[in-house]
Amino acid sequence: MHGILNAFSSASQSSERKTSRLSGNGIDTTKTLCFSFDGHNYTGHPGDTLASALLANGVRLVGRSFKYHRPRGILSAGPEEPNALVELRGGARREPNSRATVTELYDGLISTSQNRWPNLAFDALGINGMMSPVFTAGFYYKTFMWPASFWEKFYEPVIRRAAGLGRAADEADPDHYEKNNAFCDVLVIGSGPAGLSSALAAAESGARVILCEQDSLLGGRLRAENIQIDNHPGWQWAEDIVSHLRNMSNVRIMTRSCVFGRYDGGTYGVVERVSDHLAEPLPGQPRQRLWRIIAKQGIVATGGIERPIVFPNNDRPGIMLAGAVRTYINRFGVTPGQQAVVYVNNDDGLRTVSDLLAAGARIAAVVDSRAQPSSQAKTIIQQTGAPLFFGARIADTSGYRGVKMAIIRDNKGKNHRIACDLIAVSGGWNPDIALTTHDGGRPVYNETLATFVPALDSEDLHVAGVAAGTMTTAEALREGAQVGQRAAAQCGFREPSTPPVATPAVDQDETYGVVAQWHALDKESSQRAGKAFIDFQNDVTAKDTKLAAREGFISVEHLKRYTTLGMATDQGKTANVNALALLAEVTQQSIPQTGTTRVRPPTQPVALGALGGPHRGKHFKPYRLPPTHQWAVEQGAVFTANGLWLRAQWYPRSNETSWEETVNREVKTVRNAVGFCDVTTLGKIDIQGPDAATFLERVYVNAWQKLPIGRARYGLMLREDGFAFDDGTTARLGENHYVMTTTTANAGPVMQHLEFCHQWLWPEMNVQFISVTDEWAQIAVAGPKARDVLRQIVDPAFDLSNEAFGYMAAASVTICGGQTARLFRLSFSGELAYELAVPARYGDALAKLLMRVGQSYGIAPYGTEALGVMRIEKGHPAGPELNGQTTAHDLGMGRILSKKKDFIGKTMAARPALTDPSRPTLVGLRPLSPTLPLVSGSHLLPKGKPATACFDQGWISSSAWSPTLKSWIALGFLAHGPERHGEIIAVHNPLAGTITEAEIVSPVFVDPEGTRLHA
Amino acid sequence: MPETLAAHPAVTPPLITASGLSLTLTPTRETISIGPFAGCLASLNTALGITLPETFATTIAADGVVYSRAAHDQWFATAPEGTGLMSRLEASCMKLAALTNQTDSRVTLSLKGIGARAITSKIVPIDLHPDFFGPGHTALTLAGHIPIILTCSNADTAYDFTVFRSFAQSLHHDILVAMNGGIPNSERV
Repeated sequence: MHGILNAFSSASQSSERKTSRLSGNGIDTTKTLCFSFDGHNYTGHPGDTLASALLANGVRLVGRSFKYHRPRGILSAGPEEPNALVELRGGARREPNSRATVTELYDGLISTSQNRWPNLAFDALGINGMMSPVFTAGFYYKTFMWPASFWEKFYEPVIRRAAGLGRAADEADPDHYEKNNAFCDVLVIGSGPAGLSSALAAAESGARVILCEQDSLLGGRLRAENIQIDNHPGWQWAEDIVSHLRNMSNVRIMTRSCVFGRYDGGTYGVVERVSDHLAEPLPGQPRQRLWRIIAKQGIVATGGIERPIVFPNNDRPGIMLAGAVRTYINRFGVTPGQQAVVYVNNDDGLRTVSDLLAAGARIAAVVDSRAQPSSQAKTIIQQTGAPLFFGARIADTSGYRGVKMAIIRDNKGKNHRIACDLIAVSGGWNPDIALTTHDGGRPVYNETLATFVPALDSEDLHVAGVAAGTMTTAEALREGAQVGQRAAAQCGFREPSTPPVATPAVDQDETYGVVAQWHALDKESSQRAGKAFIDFQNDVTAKDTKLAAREGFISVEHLKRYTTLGMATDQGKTANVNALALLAEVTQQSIPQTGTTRVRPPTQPVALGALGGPHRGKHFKPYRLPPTHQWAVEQGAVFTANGLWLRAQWYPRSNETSWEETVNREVKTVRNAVGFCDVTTLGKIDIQGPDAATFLERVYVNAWQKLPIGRARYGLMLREDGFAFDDGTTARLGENHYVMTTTTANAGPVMQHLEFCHQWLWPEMNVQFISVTDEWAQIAVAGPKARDVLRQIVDPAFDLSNEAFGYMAAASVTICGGQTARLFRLSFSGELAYELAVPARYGDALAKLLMRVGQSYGIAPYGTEALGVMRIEKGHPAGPELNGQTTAHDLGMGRILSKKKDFIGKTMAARPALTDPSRPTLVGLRPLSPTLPLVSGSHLLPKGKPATACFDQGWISSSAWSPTLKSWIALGFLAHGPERHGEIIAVHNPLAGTITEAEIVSPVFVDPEGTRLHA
Repeated sequence: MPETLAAHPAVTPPLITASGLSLTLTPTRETISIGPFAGCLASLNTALGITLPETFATTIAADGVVYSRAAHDQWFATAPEGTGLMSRLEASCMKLAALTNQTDSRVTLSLKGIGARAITSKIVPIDLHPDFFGPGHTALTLAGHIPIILTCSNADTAYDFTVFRSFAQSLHHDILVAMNGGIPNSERV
């Protein structure tokens, strides 16, 4: 970074460009910052935006337009900017389509123009501008129709290359983002005169207030205008109020914070640009922060967005919004031009004349489209002596890379060619009302103001200032205070705790007096409507709008889709109202009849990184770690995600060359010696109460009343619709005390199910349950030597013999000389097996202990993969079989459905379709050639039949290589399956296009008699 | 002499500091869930000598046992380990409520320091203003995507995150990220 700064320093010293600045209320001219644009080095000051710094350095050409590659300059001074889009930074932080008008300057800033080749001044695709007569709206749709195959391979790639804007970074974003939550009584959005007076009034009432300002500085238009309040510059008044607010403990002020959306329940989305104004975030600092603000009351004081006027060649660099010109002069101390034409249809725009003159510029002409000059216009003209054309319009402009001349058509139709380097345009102001429409609110058209204003206030949303259509500072101040007080009152703060601040006096007469002029096209200039731009960002012209209407796209929503009007980063902030006014004119409707497009969040671009916040990469969701996780990491285990759990999948050894080799070794270890596996992830639910057994009877299909204390039983649950839901074992620990296990995947859903049953179906039942999944570290110890290993751990007082502690026994025991534990004689592998549970904190130590005491028995840990192989070998259903579409009958468990009691799903499970014997039922499969893989998802067909749907008789749900049988094996569901053992069928894998012959066998491949698990 | 099992911490490191705040894995307390059987709540209160809090709050009994509401019809009693909490509860209210040991099921991460409220607000979607969530208040809520029981132990400067043990390391990461991000400039602390 220092290297870059040094390079900048030396370059700027050698630069011939000189920056001459006036004083601006928002910049610090005592300090200098270096930056570059398209490889040229410039200087600016703290407080500058990239746009103001470029203008200060005389740079007017900053980009090329989207479609026609026309030279474009800076139009605005705010987030509505459609033209001045640049790439910022580089490498992984390269950020395309950044608005220069809101990009704060920092030392070392690197920016480049985009959508041009080979350079900005000479762009080869500028030829598109000459082709504009044919590149009208709908050109692609009509032209690239044939041959159809060319679209994807040729037309689209070429068009995308020629159009488009900046380039996204190729690497992952190195910065991090965070989220935050905040609550308040009153959220004030915007810190102009209305916003500040709202915040002050609400805060003085005692309400908790958050004041959000998208800009880095507070004050809104008070920083942009040369206006006096209480005999002080408006921006100084703003700073005094802000200072006062900062001293109030109930006020939070958030700058660089854009409220981009309003959602249900008083929820607002806000993105705070924490370190966008720095070259890189400070260590630990987020780049941006996404806020969710919950406000009882919201006040929209977002001000307005100035409208351009549509006239031929109105997009040349140097043609700017009048309000933006004043912003650059008053806030940034930059005069955007030296010889200006000011083109207005309202008095507010005429302020520009005075400000330009005060800044030393010459006024070449004032063009006022109103039929008669207003008194304000007369006064200004008298004061300045500038030539005034009233009832006039700009008929055209010239100047390729920057405006050089305006052709003014006076009220008698005579053209005047006026040399200029700046045209300041004001077509009036549109209240910035996007936030008032996010809940479906529709704005209403105000003829007097020639714009849309918000509909009536809702109970929790208020609008003040220009956003409400209140166009003078004095009225905005007064209205803001009223609204602030009203909002606070609705939160229960009735009266201000101190007398309200007297409404400040604005020291100038202010008038607005707008008379609508949406465009300046007359019969003659309409011939150049193809270069009269409405939407600068999407190169949508007056001609496009007329064409769309002529082709039937007369709805404003259709106009938007057909022409791309109002899309992209600016969302048509400067374009939409002019476009719909023109559409209204073409369709001979009124503007209210034409209506507006629906405005949806976000009001400004929001980075996906901000929406994701800290939840990215492996942290995009939380993870759960079983108690032996750290130990497994130390063993070099490979992990797999089971839901949120991270589980050891297998434990490779250094001499093993493949995961299959590892898994085969782990299976053989269990089958021949002893292995252990962390099964903590299985759901465990503690159930207690006098009605516990009855409760189990109702949620399980099988009987529970007679289960003795100290025994466990397999249980199957159905859903209400009769399909299998989950299975597991439940052990009876005491008279009214049970512990239920669930599958890992269904631990949460089963708990939810039990709560639902208890709270809604059988609230009379006296039973309590709570999850103990995390309480116990539960480790399965399996294999013929499992008992020998456990005898080294379990205290001698407990008899582990088969006679004393047989299959499905359960007991509270002690281990290691008194440590509380639970022991269950359960087997998922089919071997002699136990599950030993200890308080979770001891899980890690238990794993280490098992390794030590089991060493002489050949013990080894095994992961979920070996677990899966062994359960397939044993024919135990798991997730692929309990897939929500299988019944107890399908699973071969129809016999355990009790006929003596009711249970959830009983009635629906009896539906004919669910008991049809031809339903695919669980079977085992072995390929005739043992080494030919059977693949899950394969279809089962009668041997010799074609692989078509009409011969489809079932599918494979699980498959594995069985190191025990030295063959591939599979579980599957097959029509009439149990009756077909011994039959040879075809297994069709449609993905690989293979057919393998396999024998239908029992799903229990290993130890079908259960000798091993009963050993 | 049989080999005893050593306890393994749920998160590492057990103490970490960032941005002037500390995040600590608090010492394990014996924790018992209490689920009153039907119609037994009044008797249970009598047996315990306290009124189990009806709102999400904590009550400290004369013997120092802390009772917190943990869910619908469910409370947690906690006491330092080794004080025989389960035995005492079994003796006094075995027939009145389901008692389940939860000592290892949850762990508590304690965030302390100036700005603790601001950091907690980054991941917890509830209003932590002392007027609404002061000392002794608890809430069943989310920290990011992780279910927690949040307790305010000192307004603005100390919050306890009680979380399922298996989520503890993930939550620890999330809180640490929030701490590293610093206190938003706009926060008043």
